[in-house]
Amino acid sequence: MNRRTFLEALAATVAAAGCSRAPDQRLQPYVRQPELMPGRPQRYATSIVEGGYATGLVVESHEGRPTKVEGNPAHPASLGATSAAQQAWVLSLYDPSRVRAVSHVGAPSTEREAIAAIAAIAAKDVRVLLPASSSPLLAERLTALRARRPNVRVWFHDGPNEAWEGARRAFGQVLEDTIDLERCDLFVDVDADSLSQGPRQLVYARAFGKRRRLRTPNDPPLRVWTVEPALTCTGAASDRRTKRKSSEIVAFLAGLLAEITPGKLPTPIADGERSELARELLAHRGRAAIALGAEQPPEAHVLVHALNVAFGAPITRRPSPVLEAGNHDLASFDGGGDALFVLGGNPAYSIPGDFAAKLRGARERFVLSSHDDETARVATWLIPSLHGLERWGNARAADGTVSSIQPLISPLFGGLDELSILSALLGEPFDAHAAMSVDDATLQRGFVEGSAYSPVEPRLDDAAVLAAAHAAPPLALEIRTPRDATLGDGEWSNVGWLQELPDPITQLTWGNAARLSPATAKRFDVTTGDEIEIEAQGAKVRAPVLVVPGDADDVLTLTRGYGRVDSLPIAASRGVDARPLRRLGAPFVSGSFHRTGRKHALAIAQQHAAEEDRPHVRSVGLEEWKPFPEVTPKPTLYKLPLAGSPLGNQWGMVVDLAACTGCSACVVACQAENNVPTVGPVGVRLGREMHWLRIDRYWQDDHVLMQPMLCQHCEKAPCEYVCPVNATAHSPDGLNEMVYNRCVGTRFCSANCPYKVRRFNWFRYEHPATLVLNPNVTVRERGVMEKCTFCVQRIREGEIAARRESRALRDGEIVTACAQACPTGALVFGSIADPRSAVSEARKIPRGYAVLDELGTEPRVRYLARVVVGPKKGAP
Amino acid sequence: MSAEHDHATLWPRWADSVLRVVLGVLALGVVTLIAFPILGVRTAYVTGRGDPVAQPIAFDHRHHVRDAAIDCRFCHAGAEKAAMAGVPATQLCMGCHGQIWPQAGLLEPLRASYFEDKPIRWTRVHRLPEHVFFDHSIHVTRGIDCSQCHGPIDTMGQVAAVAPLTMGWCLDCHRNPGRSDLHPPTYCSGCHR
Repeated sequence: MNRRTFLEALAATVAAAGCSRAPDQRLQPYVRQPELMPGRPQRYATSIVEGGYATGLVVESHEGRPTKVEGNPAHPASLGATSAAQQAWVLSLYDPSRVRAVSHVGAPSTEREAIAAIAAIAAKDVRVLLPASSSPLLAERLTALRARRPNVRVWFHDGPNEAWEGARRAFGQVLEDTIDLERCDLFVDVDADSLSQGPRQLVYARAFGKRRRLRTPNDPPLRVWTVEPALTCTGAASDRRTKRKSSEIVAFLAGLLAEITPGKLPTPIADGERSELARELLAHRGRAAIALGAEQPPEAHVLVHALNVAFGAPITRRPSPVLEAGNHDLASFDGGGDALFVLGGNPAYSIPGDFAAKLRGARERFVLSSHDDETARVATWLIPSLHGLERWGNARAADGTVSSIQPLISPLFGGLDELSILSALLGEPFDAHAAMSVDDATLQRGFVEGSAYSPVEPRLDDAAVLAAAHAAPPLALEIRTPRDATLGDGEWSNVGWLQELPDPITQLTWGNAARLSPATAKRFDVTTGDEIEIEAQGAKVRAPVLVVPGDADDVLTLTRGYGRVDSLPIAASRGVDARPLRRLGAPFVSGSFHRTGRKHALAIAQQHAAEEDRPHVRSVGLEEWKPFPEVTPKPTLYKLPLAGSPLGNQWGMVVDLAACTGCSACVVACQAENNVPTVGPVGVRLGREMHWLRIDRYWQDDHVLMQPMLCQHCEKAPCEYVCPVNATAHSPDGLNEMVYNRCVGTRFCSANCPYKVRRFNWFRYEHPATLVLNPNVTVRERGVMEKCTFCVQRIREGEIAARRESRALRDGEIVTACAQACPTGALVFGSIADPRSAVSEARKIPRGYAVLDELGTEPRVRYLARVVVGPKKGAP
Repeated sequence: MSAEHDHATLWPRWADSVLRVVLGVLALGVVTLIAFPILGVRTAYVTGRGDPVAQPIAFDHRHHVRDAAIDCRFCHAGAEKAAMAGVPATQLCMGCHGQIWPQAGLLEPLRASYFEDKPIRWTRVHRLPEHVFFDHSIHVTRGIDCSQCHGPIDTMGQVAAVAPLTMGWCLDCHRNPGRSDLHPPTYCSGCHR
């Protein structure tokens, strides 16, 4: 085509586009309509299983496709809240890189052939590797297998083994602690990050929120003290932090125990902070509790149990819901045999050392996996595993409650689950739904009522405590490889939402980095972005440095979950694999590092972390609690008040910074609800991330202050009067509206927004999984501005539902996605026109302020200042 | 030689008139270029109003609505309860036509759909742009009759849209609903999300 014909064709196209009508659209109704009404979402109760522990969820489905996850308010492990990863669960369902078909040594095969191959091998020397599970269905299958197939041996390849071993030594049985935080006045978190990690995080966060959202200075507050090697969300939310290496924790706890129960243990060397903690613990006898990180050695767990018993901590102890808890011992797993079955998890990646070589020892290797991951690489038979939203099943919550798993969608790519494969070994078909034998009411509730384990009151073994109190000297330089705050042990690596979710503390996206304290970085003459070579366990790993003010000195922290194989398109080549630095059963090892001279550009979402003398995040102590002074607003051309809304609502939000831990569940919830795209590491480096709700963090010395930041829905919005095409306007019920079809992309609004919450579509960002999109929210085109809408689709749907039934809206009926997900209840949404609404009540609390109030923007989002409980020393 | 004389030789007397005509035509062209699409999208040709739409089955609303007196909501069950009024499933049609006219040649595509489990591909008559989030239920439950937007369906053999479904047409009613108990939104987020 030459230039002339091109121009002719262009002119003809433009003319035709302007004159002709759009092509015909087709409507395809169902042939047989299932139990749904098109246009009305359905909600089903199901459960997600993480590390063997179930959390009850309610999943929204539009015409048969699950789009949004919410917590199940009645479920004891959710209480209506979700974590960031749980919010992203639905995206992992639609991952296009999931394994789509059975393959046998690389050649395509079928499920039928795989089942036949399994049946043929069932009588030989068979080994089965399972991830931690609490499923009663699986327990029944394993019992049958052991009774009828003595040639089949079973191992579990993950689980909090150190915690279980600690409980066994202390109490003679494998028990798990659940702290009743609501009854605590002092909570000590030791290297655990209890408020944003682990199977009880939502329960703890709910209780934390209840006890921190103080209405008056006289409310009984909960004081939080963390002892940790690297700053975590719980550390950020705490009143007092003590920095200790992971390898110092046993000695610290032994010293603490010696101070609390003098005479029993040898007198420890002096430690001022530890003595203060001991005094506070004794002062809060019966109302204090200690939580310990699951990966700490068993000795530390024994000491924590002894401590909790010593000052009568309000703790419920129950048997572990996990099958064969305490016997997940991989030391006896030798590889070899005729056949190996890896039925879930990714042990070749998550277990330190060359575990893949051990797996290759078996002649036939059946791997049940969602992805062509590290473990799938050893398979002779690779069988796609069903996603949790595609299958029947059950599992127990942390307290033992039997929670049901029901499918929301037919398997997208086919596949099997571990129950059907174990049944194939038994040579019988298996119908998980029938075997669950639950009635419809239980399925709708999502769990079996009253199925929680009864609490156990064990006796502490004093001899075990004495034996545990011998601490090894701390490591000179400690290399820590904890689970990643957003990606866990790599199980979430291929989920774009979680890759782009900034680490709450470092704001790092799309990768990991070696975290060092400023003093340590200075001592080794490195700074953020410098590449270092870390040597430990006889291995060398290169990683960029990230200096984090809150971390302990002489500790290097490199999280797991990164450095994945190329067959995971989202996760491939993101960050570095920390596995070579790890040792089985040890969360930290001794090591060294040196600078290589190379530099890395890190995709950090928030580069500037100082408040620059503007008090964005304010704090109050309990003694100096008085209302913040009113600021005289600058003169304005805006006419106020706004015209009243016909339905009488004025939407507003209150963010209680005293309850915010920075866990980021709200960020992912917003992304899922509002079809927010991801932009990738290059986009993040250019400051082009699209999150409508972000969590800003500011450093104050070595403390971090968290602040959820979203469109403030200013009554005098600076964005509105600069838009040349009136694409951003104000609704009578107080929303700052964004009209995508009017927007021409001048970005003037963003330049004039003091809160920097407007996001611009620099490109047509791909939504690789279009099925996950919320049909009630427009997918934005290239060249338009977007921002938080207060989930206007939920507001209008709620209003319509109420009007349809000719009734008034109830307070709390309309909840934004962020507020619904928030585990601590830090976000309150509602109508400020109703004086009795929760948001109006929250606005009356005398800790409230508006960010940048001197600008006179009159934001509809108000913040409540952080509360520092107890002596302010060592805390912001 | 003066400059005036030079000018006169370069430009003849009628040059000014030609310039005026050319400028006028250009200006008119610009106005047309802007006005044409603005007015064009509102024409019946582009909005498709008044054009009866052929369907894969010659479904006759006159027969079902006027003669058989079937309520709209029997087939369009979502009209009162959901955003979408909905097109009935083949099964619903077969509920009657399994008994009535079970052999009719006209209904062959219906039976084919039912027995081959393939949906019928109807052609959409009322089209809204995708950035409009229209909700049937609120209109119907607030007493807006179906015919106010869809016209006298009971007189249509092949259904034709009677309303342009342009934003101006929506706003005509939203601004002046004519009833004091109605508070239709006239702000952006009422319909655009």
